[in-house]
Amino acid sequence: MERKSIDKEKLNEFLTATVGKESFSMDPVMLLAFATDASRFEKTPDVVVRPSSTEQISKIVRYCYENEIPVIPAGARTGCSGGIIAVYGGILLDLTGMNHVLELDVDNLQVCVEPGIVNDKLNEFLKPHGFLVPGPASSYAATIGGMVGNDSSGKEAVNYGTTSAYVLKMEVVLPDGRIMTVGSNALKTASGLNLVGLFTGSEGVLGVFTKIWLRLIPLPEAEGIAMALFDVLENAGKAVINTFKAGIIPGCVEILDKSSIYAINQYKPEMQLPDVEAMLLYEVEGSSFEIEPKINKIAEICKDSGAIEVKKATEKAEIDRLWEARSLVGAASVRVREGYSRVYAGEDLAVPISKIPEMLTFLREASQRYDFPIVTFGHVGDGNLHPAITIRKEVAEDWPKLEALIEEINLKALDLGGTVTGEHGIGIARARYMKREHGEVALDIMKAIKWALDPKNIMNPGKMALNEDPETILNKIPVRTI
Amino acid sequence: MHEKIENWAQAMLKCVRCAKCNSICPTLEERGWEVIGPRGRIRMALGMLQGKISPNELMTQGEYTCLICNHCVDICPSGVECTEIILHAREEMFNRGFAPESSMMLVEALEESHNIFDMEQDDRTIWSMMDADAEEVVEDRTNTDAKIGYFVGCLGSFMGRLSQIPLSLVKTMDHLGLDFTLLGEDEWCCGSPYYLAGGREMIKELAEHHISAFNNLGVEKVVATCAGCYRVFKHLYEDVGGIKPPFEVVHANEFLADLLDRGKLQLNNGNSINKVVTWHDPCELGRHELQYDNPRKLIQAIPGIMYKELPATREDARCCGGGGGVKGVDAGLGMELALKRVEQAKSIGAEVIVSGCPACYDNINEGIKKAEANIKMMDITEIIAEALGLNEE
Repeated sequence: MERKSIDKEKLNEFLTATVGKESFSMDPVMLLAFATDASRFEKTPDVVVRPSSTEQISKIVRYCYENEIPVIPAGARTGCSGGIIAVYGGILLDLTGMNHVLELDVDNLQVCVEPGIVNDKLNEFLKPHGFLVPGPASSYAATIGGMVGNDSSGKEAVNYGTTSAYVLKMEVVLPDGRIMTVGSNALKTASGLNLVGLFTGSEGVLGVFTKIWLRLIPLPEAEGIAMALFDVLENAGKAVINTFKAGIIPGCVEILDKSSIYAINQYKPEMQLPDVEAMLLYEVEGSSFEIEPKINKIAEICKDSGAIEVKKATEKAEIDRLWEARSLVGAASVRVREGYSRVYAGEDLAVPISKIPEMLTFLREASQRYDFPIVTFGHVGDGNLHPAITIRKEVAEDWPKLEALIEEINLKALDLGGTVTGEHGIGIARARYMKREHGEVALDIMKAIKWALDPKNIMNPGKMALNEDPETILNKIPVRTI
Repeated sequence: MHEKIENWAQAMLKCVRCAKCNSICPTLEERGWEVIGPRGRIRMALGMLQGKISPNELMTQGEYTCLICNHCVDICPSGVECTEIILHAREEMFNRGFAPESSMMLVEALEESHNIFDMEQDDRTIWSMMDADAEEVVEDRTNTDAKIGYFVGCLGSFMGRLSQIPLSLVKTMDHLGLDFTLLGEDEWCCGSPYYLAGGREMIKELAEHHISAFNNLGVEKVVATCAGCYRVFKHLYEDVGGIKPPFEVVHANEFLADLLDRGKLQLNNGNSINKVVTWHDPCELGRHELQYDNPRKLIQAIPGIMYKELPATREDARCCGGGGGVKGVDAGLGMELALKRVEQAKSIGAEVIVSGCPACYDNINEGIKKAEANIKMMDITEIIAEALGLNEE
């Protein structure tokens, strides 16, 4: 796709008048700093703007619409799929400065926030009021805008659902600059087409969120944890299925396979995790009197399913210690083999729960075949696995090998009836699987929606295979080494 | 390009860009722009090495507003040595002429006068004149053979408002009958400003000078009251200067805690200090050196003190804003961070903030004044001297 060249002088004048000189930058150093997220892609935008209001964003998007300049909304840029990469340059809107709580309405169980507020910061604010907004593992940095854009979730999704489960209403700047407020302050609505649902998970291709109303979740009164160890991988899968069959919906269920356990023990030997095939971590939340019986029941189910050992904890210090293992695993993957570091690729598949053992076995075999350490962990309660592939980033031949491995992993997930992304989104990285996963008709409908809202294709172009051939995009964007 | 750069690149490749570092960076929190946070600083450093960008004013602003507080290193799950990478970036920028003016002024002052204030070295012991007894002790003790050498540091030596730090330690050592010496005008700047500016190679001359000066006096242990000087002596003279000091190097808090442990320093019979007191962990003592327990032990050994921890403390301590040479590049940033620390101290009802670094002392004290907070700033040496009845309150 050919793009008009940007009149930088005119853009400079416009932005100076709209947001002020201190709120945008065209400096190549700044542009490089905004060229990346956690994916393996890199491309600099033409300008980075830090807007501070809906009105500013509306004016900027309108200007971009008139001048056919790409607009890329961005939060903390911790995404793994290249969702904020400026494929065609353009204006990257850094929304992290719009980070305020606008209104807390406890009586109606909702909070209105700006898109740049960080999930953990929002929860710090909500805690004294007894509420939370569940988030992903990157909640320390992830912004609410980014979470809504990706329909993010984390380990608690099995209990609370993904971000879309909390979005009640949103204010969005549309690709032509119009401001739309959609949704309801009622906790449910059956009115009209579900545009809130459409925009949630739209990865910035339909508009820019400027205000978001979120439903609040009461903070659990108490929590407990069970750690079950398995010497047969399939038994871990059985245990999860048997838990659900028994009518227990845990707060979360996480799996660490042999590779993860090894990685953690390499990183923090003091954790002294046992060398087993798989470890399940169950979290149970609820009122204090519910916890112990639930944990005991889960322990019983795990043992009946073949667990060789189950540890239980209801004290905070012990719970934190057990969770520490899970929280360390992603980063610990770089410790498995000297000189190998993690690449976010093929890292977010989800399969039906019963297929988890097959997927794990496949990953282990692929790791040996490609001779790349793969550390696998994930949210087994909803079938979402995160294989952390590590390669030698500076060795050229590792990159095409990586591409082949990712392809195998994603196709395997689809073959098992799963998806290429449980929570990280499509962006650039997984665009080539859109047709395969959704089929031609569904993809055509998505393209029609995009065209109807954004006929000039200015909103985060080049993503999700909605306008461009994903292979062309992949060839256009250089893979970076950091 | 060359080996050093390859090593750097390797160190940076560990970064998975998870932004955990960004989530705790005080400068990013204040300024918002990615380049004023660790992930951006690493990106810029690598971009410069790869030739994707050339250093410029913005990059100087980014790399030289790092407080070197090491919080990003501590929190990084991938083990990325952010601080070391940033200091290497500064070195490259220094060599290419992109160190900020404030850093270069210090470097020039050091070359001209051997101190950061460009003052006459004759005035090195000017601080002792604030107290007649101490002045006499200092005169007697300067350049004499002794087991213990006291390295005062430029801030304590020349900044009148910080003179209480060396005065307190000298009076305490004298009171305890310790065998100590000072270098007087032979004490030069330790070299920390060179290191922070990016001119780390220039430390070598200072390492040779100080090691030889203390060695000639038969010193077996060097005590520093400045956390920055302490780390330079303890690590950089060997790591960067290539010369291992043949003597032990300790910070005053370790030195005093050791005396307390051995019963040489007795605080239980001294003055009571009936105040709510807290300890601010200087980054260079805390996260860089893991010295968390000694100062707390010392403070809590003083009768009457009600000790309270700050909300962000020990490994999670928030930098006061006085580190890394940042104030020279963005003075406002240093003050904003000091005000945050003062706010935290107010939230626990602290009446006294104690620290072990003159840069923290000065910056937090400025914050206290600006906030008009009813809090007193003290150095660990000062509060000990007060407990011993050597300083008037």
